Amino acid sequence: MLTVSNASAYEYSVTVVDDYAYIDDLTPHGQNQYERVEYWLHDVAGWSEEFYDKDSSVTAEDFGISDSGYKGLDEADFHYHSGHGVDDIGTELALCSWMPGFNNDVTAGDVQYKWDQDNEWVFLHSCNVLDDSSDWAKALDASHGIMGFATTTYTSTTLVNEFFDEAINSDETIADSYYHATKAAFGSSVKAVIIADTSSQMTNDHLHGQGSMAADESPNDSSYAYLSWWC
Amino acid sequence: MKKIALSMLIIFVLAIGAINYIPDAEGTVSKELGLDTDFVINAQFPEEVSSFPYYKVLSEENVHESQSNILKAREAVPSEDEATKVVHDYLLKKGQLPEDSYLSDVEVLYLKTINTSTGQDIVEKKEPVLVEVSYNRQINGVPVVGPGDSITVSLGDDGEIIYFFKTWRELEIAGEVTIIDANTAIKNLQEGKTIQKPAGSERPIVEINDIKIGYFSDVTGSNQDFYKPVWIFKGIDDRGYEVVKCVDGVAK
Repeated sequence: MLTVSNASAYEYSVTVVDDYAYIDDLTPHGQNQYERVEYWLHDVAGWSEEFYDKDSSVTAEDFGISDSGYKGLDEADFHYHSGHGVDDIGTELALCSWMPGFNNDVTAGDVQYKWDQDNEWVFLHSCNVLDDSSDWAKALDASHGIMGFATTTYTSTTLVNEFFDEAINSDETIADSYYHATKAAFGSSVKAVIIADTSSQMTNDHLHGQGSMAADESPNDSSYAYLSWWC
Repeated sequence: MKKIALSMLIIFVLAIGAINYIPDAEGTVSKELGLDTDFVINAQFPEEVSSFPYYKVLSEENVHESQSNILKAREAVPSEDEATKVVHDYLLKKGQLPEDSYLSDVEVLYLKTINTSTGQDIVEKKEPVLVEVSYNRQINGVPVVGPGDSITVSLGDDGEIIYFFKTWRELEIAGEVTIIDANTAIKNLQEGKTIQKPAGSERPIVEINDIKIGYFSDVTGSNQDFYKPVWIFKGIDDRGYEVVKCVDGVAK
């Protein structure tokens, strides 16, 4: 187990797509959620913001699809994303000009074996994406885990607030914090999913500075840990 | 009070246009983070009424008690039947089981280790984590949906209470309001005018198989002053997941 306590050494990144060209806008919800992430990680926990990209500034490269050069979310310890998640022959994150059958998206294949640098946890506040959890788990090289949903979900500042309140003020594990946040934020028809590269990461990982974090998986294997529940 | 064809099975196929931008609707409290759906409605309608009670919120209760590290593999979680009894007795003893609550779900959570090396998902290990028992609310038999009125109690090894979360509102009757009829509610559903607003366009077929008049309960802290009637549509999506959509029921 590794415990690190120098908060300023930790970094987070955020992507928010509120303004869609062809499908329903989410304005101002993603921006409101970003402000809660910023409050908790920057103002309360003292982390540094690696980047915040919004709407048309959000690119596939922000999700760490490149093998070299700019590594996007893999340059920070924690990443939060808000935007539409869709099932378009496999689940994917819709970027601002998304249309069915066309690109302008991020698929599980785009990030397969790519998160191998700094990232530990990714929070995908989007519909459907983790219904294909086995595909997205392949992104977890050195990265530890992904929180998300298998069904429809909704914009919610309560989800963000409750998650960070548990993880930072109460020093609960990331998985426990996510469990409570989803219970507080949503009704029974939302299915929350959390996956991790190892079961030890699933049950032991805290946000940096709030407790222990399990080691990266080495060597990498083809297995991952999975938990889900109805909210 | 006449009935709207209770004996008839009515199927509406409501195809929503392909790419269709829908502006914000008044009363939207949050937005769906996926795409809209085509609806097949295959359900009986409730009795037609012109007015329906509504309630004023007097107070909110939010109780959260939890052990640390609740999501981990365990060896001796109770059966669903045992958990149901333990939780019922626990809530009664705590004075935390409101008269208008009802048992809505009992579920065992499992920590799975999944191997994908063959191209198929092979569950290598499946270990119980907890058993959760959930309660929701009915006001005089009328359902309440949404996150604002619910109780979840989770049990670990040997039935130990490891998580208790209750969010509930105290209500008093405020009067009656005129409500829209079922056809208007379906039209609003078709147009995406839901309380939690759909965002987008054509998607997998959704079958609506239950239609009721009830109430929507938003998250605590949302400054919800009243519980006014909504039309509740329940069904499944093309992956078999439950869908719940609410349309404002109050006539303007």
